[in-house]
Amino acid sequence: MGTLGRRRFFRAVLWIVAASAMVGTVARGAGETPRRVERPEPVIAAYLVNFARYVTWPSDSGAAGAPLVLAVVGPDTFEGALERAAEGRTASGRPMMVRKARTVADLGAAAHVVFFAPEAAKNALPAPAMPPGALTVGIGPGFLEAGGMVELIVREGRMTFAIDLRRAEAAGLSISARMLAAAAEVRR
Amino acid sequence: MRKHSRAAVVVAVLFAPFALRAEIDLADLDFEALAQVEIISVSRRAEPVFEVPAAATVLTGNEVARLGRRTLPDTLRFVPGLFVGRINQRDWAVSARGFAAQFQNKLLVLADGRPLYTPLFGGVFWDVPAFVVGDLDRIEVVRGPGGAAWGANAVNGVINVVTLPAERTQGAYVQGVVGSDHRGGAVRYGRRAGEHWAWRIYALGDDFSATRAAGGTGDFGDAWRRHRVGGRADGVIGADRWMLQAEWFDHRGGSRVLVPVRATAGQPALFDRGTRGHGGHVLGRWTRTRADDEASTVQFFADRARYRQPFGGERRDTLDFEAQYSGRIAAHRWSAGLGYRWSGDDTERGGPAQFEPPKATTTIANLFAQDTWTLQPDRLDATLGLKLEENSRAGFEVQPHGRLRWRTDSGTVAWLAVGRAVRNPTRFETDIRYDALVRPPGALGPGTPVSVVRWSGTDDIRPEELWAYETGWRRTRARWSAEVVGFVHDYRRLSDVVPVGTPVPVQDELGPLLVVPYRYSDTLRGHSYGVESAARCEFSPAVAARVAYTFTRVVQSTRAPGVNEVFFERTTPRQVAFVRVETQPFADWECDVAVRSVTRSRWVQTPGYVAVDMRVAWKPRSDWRLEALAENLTDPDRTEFLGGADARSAAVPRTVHLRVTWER
Repeated sequence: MGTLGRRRFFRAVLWIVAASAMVGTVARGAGETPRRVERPEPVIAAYLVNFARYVTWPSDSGAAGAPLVLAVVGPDTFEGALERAAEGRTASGRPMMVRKARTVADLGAAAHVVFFAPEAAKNALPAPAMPPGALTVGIGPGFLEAGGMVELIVREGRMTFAIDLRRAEAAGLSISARMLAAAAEVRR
Repeated sequence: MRKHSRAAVVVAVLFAPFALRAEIDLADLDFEALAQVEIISVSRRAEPVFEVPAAATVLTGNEVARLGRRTLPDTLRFVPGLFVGRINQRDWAVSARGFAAQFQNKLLVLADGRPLYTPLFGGVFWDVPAFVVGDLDRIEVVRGPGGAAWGANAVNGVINVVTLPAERTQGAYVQGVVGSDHRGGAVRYGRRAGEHWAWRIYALGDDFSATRAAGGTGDFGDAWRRHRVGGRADGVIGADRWMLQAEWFDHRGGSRVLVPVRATAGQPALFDRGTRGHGGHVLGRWTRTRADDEASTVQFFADRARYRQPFGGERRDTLDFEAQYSGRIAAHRWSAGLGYRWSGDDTERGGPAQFEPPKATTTIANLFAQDTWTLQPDRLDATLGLKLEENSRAGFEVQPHGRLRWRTDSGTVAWLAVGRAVRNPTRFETDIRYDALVRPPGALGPGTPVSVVRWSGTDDIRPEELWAYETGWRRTRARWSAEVVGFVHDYRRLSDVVPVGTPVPVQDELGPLLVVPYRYSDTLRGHSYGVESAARCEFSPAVAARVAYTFTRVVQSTRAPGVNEVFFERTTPRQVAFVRVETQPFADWECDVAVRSVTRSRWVQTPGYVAVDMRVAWKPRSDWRLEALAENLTDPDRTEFLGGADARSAAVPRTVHLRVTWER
C-alpha cells in the first residue's frame, strides 16, 4: 500500500479534523470558564475607556458632545482593541474616538486620555507638547516616577492601576471617588 | 460523497459549534471585575531562552530580517554550533555536532511543528523551506538530542521555524530582490476578520540562476526556481487559541550530475533529469491554556509531497495527529503527550535508485512524558523525560533524558544533560537497490565486463543509537551575554554500506555484467565531541557584536571497509566561527559586517576559508526599507562542500543583491 488515492486522502483529512474538533470540545470542562484573555491590550483598552468615564476634564474648549479623544503614543500593539472598546460607548454623554501618534508632538490639540506604549514611555515625560488637561497613562513600573498620572500595574497575571492624584489635579482633572477607591495605590 | 466522508463532515459540523463561546466584552466590566481578568501571556511563566537547560539558540524574526539572507541555510550560518556548507545553488550540507553530509539524517527540521524531512532517506531538501521573512516569528535551534517532545530523527538537533500568528501580520507586505544570481519577490496581505480571528495570505517566488564555472566555460546547471502560495488563520475563543494553515509549493531545478549509465557501456553520462519538489499541506492546531503552565494542545496535519531527484523520486502522503498536555502539581511541572503518524510513499521506478517494495507505509506511534522537579525555587531543578516510540518498520524504542539546571540571581545558568536518541532506519537503508558506481569493461581486471557496484538495503538493520552527554554555562546581562557548551556524543550502530562477498557475474538484457555487492550494515561505532561557544555584546545602542566559535571532532572507533570508512571523520570541518558587527551609523541606516571562517574539511580537500559579507540598509520612512547585501566578498570561487553522487559542487561566487521591502 503506497500513497492514498485522492478520495481516501481527503476522507482521512476530514476524519482528523472531526477528531480534533471532538477532542477540543470533550476536553472542555463543564461550567463557567473564568474570564481570561491572551494579551494585555484588550484589558488596557477597557481601562482607558473606564478612565474616560470616571475622570472629569476642565471646561473643554470643545462643544458639549464633542468626542473624548483616547490617544496612543508610540508603537501600536492594540490591533484595533481600543477602537472596539470605544465604539458605541460614551463617557459623560460624549462619544469617544481613538487617535494614534508616534510621539507626543504628533498628538495635536486635543487629547483627553493619552496612553504611552512601553517603548515610547522612556523619557517621554514631562512633555512640553502635551495637550493641556490630558490624563497620562502608562505601564509600570516607574511610570509615576517618570511623571505620569496613572500607572497600570501587572501583577501575577492581573492588571490594576495606581494614581498620582496630585499631578492629575495640577492639570485640572478631577478623578471620581469610585476610581480612587478602585486604585491599588493613590499618591497625594 | 461516500458515506464515511459525509459522516465525517457531519461530525465536524456538529461538534464545532459546541466548541465556540462568545468572548466577554471587557469594556463593560467595572474596575473590580477588570482587576480580576487573567492575562495569559503575562501569567504563563514561559521560560525565557536564556534559562533553557539545553544548547538552544533563537533567531527572532527581526534578527532573520536583519541578516537579510536569501535562503534558510544561509541564515543558519549564523547560528552558533551549526555547520553550513554550500554545495551548489540548490544543495547544502547542514549539520550540528558532526556528520556533515548533503543528505545527513541527524537533524530534524520543522516548520511550525511539521517535519520537513523525508523518511525515504532521512534527509532534508534544504531548498524547500521558504518563508515570507516578515511573517517569521523565530527560528529555534536546539543542538543535541533535543527534548523528549520532538520525535524521530531528532538526534543531533532540531531546527524549528515558527511563523507569526495571523493577527500579528496584518496589512500589506511586499518585497522584491534582484541581484547577481537571484530575482524574487514575496507578497502578503493580512486582515482581521471579526472580533476574534484574523487571516493572511501570501505568495512568494524566486529564481536562482546557475553558478557560472570559473573561466566562463558554461555553468553548473544548478539553476532553480520556487513558488509558494499559502495562508494562515488564527483565532481566539475565550481562553482557547486555534490556528489553521495551508500551503502549496513548487520548486524546480536543473541538476546536471554525472550518473553512471550502463547503456553506454559504463561511461558516466551527464544526466540532466532535473529536480522537482512540489506539494502542499494543511495544518491545524488548538491550544487551551488554563493557568500558569497548564495547557493542552491538539494538532493535526496532512501533507502530500512529490520529490524527484536525479537518483530517484517519491510521492509521499503524511498524516499526523498529536496531543500535548502540561500542568503543574506542587513543585513539579509536567508535560505529556501522544502522537500518531502515518506516512506512505510511492517511489519512482526506473531511476538508479530502486526501492523493493516500491510502495511502503510507516506508522509511528509515540508517547512521551516529562517532569521538571523544582528542588530549590529559582535555583535548582531537575528534569526527567521519556519518549516511547513504536515504529512499524523499526520496532519499539525508549528514549530517556535527564537534565539538571542551576540558576543564580544574576542571570547565570549552568546545566548538565544526558540523553538517548534513536534514528530509525530509512527506506534507503532497508529497501534500496542502488547502482552506485558503474565501471567500464576491464576496470576490475583484464577481460572483465562492465561492473556495477550495487548497494542493497537490508531488513536486519537496527536503529542508530546516540547517548549524548552535555554541559553548558550561560550568563546574561543587559548589554552582553555569553554561552559555552561542551558535548560528547557516543554513537552505536551507525549505518554504513559494506562489501559482501565476491563479485557475481550476471547476464541480463544489456549483456554480461559483474555485480559487486554492497549491503547496508549497522556496525559502525564512533563518537563526536566538541565545544560550542557564543557571545553577544551591545557596546552602545548603535553598535552590537556577536561572536561564535565551534570546535567539533568526530572519531570512528571501528574500521570497517565500508563506504563510510573514514567519511564521518573527515567531512565536518573542525572549527567554525563567525563575527558579526551590527551598527546604526545614522538614524535610518544600518550597516552590518560579518566575517565567517571554516577550517578545512579533509574530505572535501578544500582549504579552510574566510568569507566576508556586508549589508547596508536604509529606512527612509517607516514603511520602506532598502537593503544591499554583498556576500562572499573575499575568497570567491571556492568550493565549500561536496555533494552526494547526484549534486555537483559549484564554486561559491561573490554576489550582490538589492532588496526593497514595503510594509504597511
